[in-house]
Amino acid sequence: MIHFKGVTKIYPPDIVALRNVNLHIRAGEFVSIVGRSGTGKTTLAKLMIAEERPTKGSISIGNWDVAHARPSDIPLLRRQIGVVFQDYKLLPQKTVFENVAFALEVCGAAPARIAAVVPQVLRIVGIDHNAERYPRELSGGEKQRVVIARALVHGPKILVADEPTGNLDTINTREVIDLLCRINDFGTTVVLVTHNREVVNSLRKRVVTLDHGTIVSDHEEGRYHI
Amino acid sequence: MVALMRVIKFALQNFRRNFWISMITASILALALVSVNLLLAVNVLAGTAVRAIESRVDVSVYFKPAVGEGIVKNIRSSLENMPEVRAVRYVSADAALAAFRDRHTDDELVVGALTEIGQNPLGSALIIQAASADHYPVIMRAIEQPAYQDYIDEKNFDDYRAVVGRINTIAGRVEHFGFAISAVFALIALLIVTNSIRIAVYTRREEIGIMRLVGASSAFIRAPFFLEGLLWSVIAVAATAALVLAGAGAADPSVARFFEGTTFSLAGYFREHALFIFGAELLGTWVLVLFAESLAMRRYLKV
Repeated sequence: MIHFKGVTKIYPPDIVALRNVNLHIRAGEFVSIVGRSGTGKTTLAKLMIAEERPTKGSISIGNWDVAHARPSDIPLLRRQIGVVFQDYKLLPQKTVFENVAFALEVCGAAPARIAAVVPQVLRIVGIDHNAERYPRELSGGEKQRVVIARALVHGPKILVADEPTGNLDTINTREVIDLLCRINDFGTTVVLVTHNREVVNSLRKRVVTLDHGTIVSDHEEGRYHI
Repeated sequence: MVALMRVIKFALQNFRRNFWISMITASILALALVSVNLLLAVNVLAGTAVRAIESRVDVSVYFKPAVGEGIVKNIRSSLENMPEVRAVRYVSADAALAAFRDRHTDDELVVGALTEIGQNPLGSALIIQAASADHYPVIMRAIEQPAYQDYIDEKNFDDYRAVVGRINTIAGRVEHFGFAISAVFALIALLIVTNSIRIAVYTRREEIGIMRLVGASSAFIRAPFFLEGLLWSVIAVAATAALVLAGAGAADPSVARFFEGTTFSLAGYFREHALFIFGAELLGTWVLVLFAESLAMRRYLKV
């Protein structure tokens, strides 16, 4: 599903974010990418959605050669990968429904499809009762659910969540992680980038540990040990 | 169709959100366009002045009173056959006398002298107009041929070429100056438009970031900005057209006084050519705006 082969990313002038990373994530897996701040976790996530290009090496996702994708192909790739960030990236002047619908609108989806899909996705993430509320009226956990709904609205095969619980308290963190597990149970590959020890240890799923841009461990039922 | 409707919706949304920036941008574009139209008006007026002066240039050939009408008409025919000649008007001796009397009707001395002579002292005349001011030397050479000299009493050629030349020189200088002014305004417009787009992109950077994140195509992100540019251009050209037509209408009485005897109207000229002039200006402005937008977005919209 996701293949990183000898991937190195150097930011000018000479900041090495990733060094010769080899990683294979199978379809339907739930993988946690862990490590200290500045070890290249976010760079790894950005490379998956082609927000950054590798300096060396190749990245393939399904049949996509992400490292060499043409600019015109990138939007199509991004519709197949849902992305969740720590800082939500919700539009404050739009309601929950409109924020989720926006992802379909800008990709040219028909109004009928939007009307059918958005309520369905809001139900899945358990935020349908807040559809008409604005982001400022929601808690951190609720906001993150809206972001997950927006990421799911295209029916992606992969969900990349970069520190989705970074701004959340323990209860909301648990709820968001449970939601990601449920999404994974539906067959979506989930890549969770985090440095939250409790979350990683409770998951009992595959853990890839990065240190100074290099993969230092990769365990099928791993724990957070740095 | 759905995508187009959404692009229009987003463009109108942008325009509304950045209303005053949009108005300032449209005003600067209008200012540049007004300077272009001023240049055009100066060119049109200079051309009209040159034509008016050229139409007044003629050669008058006065024949001796004894020369018969047949001879004069033969000379007229041969002159009319020349490609350099646009028109030849025959003035008979009687008509010349009548015109002379009309001109001096209050001059008792002249009237008395004519009565005393008792007969028509004037001969017939030919008034020749050339197809172009440059052709007068050729016509003069034709008139001066020895075969005609026994019949001709006097030739009169008011050479306006120096005046025409001077008008052309002034018009050329005004044109150069106008071009420089228009170029300066176009450059200012380019900078303002680039800046306006940058501000518009900056204020919407979060939304653009999300659009990119969820897979909006580059074209879909850029299209509303291009459409917004078209909206600015339409407003600028509409304001310019209103200003230019009003200004030309206000200037028309002065223009009519200056070009006495002609029916030229500056407002009429702009109305007659409105579709072409303002259509070309709309197209030109939009191209300028698109160029500025491309510059601005290249930096801010890494898709």
